[in-house]
Amino acid sequence: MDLSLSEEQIMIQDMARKFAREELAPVAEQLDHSGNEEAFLGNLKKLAELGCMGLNIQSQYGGGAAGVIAFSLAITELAKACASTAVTTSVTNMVAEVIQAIGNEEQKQHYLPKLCSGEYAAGGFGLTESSAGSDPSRMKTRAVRDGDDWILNGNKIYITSGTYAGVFVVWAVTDNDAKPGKGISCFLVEGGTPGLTIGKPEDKMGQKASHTNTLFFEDCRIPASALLGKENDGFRVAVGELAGGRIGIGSLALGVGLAAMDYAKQYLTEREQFGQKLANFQALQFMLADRYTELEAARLLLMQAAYEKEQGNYFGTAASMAKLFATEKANDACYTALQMLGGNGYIKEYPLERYARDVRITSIYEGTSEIQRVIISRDLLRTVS
Amino acid sequence: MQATDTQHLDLDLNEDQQAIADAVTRFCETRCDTETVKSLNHQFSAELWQELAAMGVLSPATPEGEGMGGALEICAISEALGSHVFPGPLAASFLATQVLPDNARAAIIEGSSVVSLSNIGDTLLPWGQHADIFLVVDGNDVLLASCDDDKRQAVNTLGAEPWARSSLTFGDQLDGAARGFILNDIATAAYLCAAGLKLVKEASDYAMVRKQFGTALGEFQAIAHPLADCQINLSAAETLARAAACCFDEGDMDAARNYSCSARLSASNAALQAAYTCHQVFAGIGITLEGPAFHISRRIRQLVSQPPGDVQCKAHLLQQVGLGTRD
Ligand SMILES: Cc1cc2nc3c(=O)[nH]c(=O)nc-3n(C[C@H](O)[C@H](O)[C@H](O)COP(=O)(O)OP(=O)(O)OC[C@H]3O[C@@H](n4cnc5c(N)ncnc54)[C@H](O)[C@@H]3O)c2cc1C
Repeated sequence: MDLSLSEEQIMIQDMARKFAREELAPVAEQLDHSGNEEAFLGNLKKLAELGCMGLNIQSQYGGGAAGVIAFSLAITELAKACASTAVTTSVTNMVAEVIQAIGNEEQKQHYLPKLCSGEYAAGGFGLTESSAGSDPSRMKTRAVRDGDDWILNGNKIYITSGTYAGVFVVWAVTDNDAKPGKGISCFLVEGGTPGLTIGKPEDKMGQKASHTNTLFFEDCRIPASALLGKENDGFRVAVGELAGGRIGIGSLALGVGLAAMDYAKQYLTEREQFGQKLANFQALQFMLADRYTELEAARLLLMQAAYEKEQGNYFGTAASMAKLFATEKANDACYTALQMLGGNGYIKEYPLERYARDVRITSIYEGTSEIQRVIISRDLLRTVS
Repeated sequence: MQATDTQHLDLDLNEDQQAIADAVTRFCETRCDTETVKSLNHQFSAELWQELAAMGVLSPATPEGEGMGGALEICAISEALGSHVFPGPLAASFLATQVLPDNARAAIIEGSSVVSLSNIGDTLLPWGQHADIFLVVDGNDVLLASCDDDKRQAVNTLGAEPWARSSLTFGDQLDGAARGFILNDIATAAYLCAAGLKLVKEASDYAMVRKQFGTALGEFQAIAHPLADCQINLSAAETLARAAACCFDEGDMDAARNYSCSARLSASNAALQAAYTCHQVFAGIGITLEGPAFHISRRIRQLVSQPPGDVQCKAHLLQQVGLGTRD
């Protein structure tokens, strides 16, 4: 694996870094605090114009065709400034990739340009239900064929961008008699479709500017053409696409972890206690050394997973390892950094408390750390046997 | 390290101590249950604080209370308040009762005065928006300070507690700091352990009923074992806090200091570990504010981060093993 970045990848990384510094960083704290939706959506639109909403989407559909590594680099840079914006970008890219992977030509031509250009503020990924989180195969949302339509009934919870997504990829059971995970299909449901109601945004601990909603489907009628991919083959798709999304979430966590450590590092060189700079204390120096080492290892795992995906190789285990490691180590980094600032880490004059709140969800959504361990260990043991 | 005969420390509460713990628990259940804590959003309620104080909970280790003993009462009270995540400057108030003169102490004990305990050289004042007594930690000493109200500015915190920022004018060095630090650390540790244990209990209960893959979460070792580790570490730290309190009540201040520092450091680590683990067990629902975890985990974070912090405890324990570098 060649670890050097191509010119295009460096360009995208620089562009995302510049945008994050100039547009996101100045408003991130305000977005977290008061959830200024207009500013948030404005930034999403600008990101789409910069090509960040379809980084791995072919150019004929309006995407950047820049690849998975570029996607990972961009998400990390955005997350350094605003995790809420980064997660919305990551999920929108994932939705576009599902459509690109299994959509028919008509679906691709209809939806991908809208997602990539920002005509849709975001895309939504509708998998989780109240009783089906880590195990989505036991979902209860049903889609029943009725003439030329499908009728959806059920609820999806914790759906990122529920309020403003232009289109949702939604999974529902289409064969009641099949075993869990077998009779599930995937559908495209546009925001505003009659029968789809969006619940109020959850009041959350972190990533507060990004809306997280319940989707209520009540006799929601969608055309037969809204079926995405093959009937009863949707679960395999969900699992596959989540693996790609995990590279995004790992990259996001890495960005937040790095931002926290960079801030703490600077603080240690400025703040004095016991007559000397905090940076002179070896205990603190070693904490920096450990956390940066872990974050660098996380970066390499992410690059490896992105590279495998980009090459068209099996990348599921690599993505799980990268997400597990990056999100857990980013959590450690944020808490270490917060603690390094002492009382100042706990107050909102400094960004550390926001980083610590924002990073917590990363080891939970798009597959918890435990689920990544299930995937990794299952793969290892399968190889042994 | 301890002069006290650690084989004969009775860590159990006696009837009186248990009675005050039960009374505090009843008070919390009726006046400050989980919904109230959440709706208070960690703000300070002078009314609740005074009601609590009227039960005598801030007086144990004072001439008005148990005299020179009282640390086990403080442990019991802090455990009861911690398991209900009751907001307020509890540990700082216990410290204040050891260092303030009679009339100021009386105001603390009846809950009419609110203490802010901060670090020398730092303008950050925990509970500073409501405080009228300012104590400052300067190494092993405590100074009385005054705050210019015009300069006091509200500060927002992770947990939404009403902190403030202001420069202080330093006054007298106060007697009784050594006893005060021990009680401050005992109360902090006991509160943290109880809050952590409450979270572990809630997460364990949830793991018994929440099913994924057709199995209760608690059946997965990945869930059960980390919860068990949290329980063990919190219980160990709680025992250290009780041991510190016993030594204090027996008048062995050296042993009490060693134990109280160990208790505070162990409790901080164990409570943070519990917060992380339990958020992971609750997963999505733990991230929402109406969920069962965040109001406890952010209180834990507050106690671990708030000035004066644990630097003093670390320095003390290092000195005990011959590695003191501070002085
Ligand atoms: C802010 C936010 C945004 C989200 N965005 C989306 C979105 O856009 N789309 C979407 O579909 N979902 C989304 N989710 C949902 C998220 O993906 C789920 O919360 C996550 O998958 C975990 O599911 P759960 O919360 O039901 O936890 P549960 O599945 O109930 O898990 C609880 C605990 O049990 C553990 N566990 C479960 N099974 C096992 C096992 N076999 N072995 C060991 N441990 C196990 C888990 O790891 C976890 O620690 C979001 C959630 C949040 C909070």
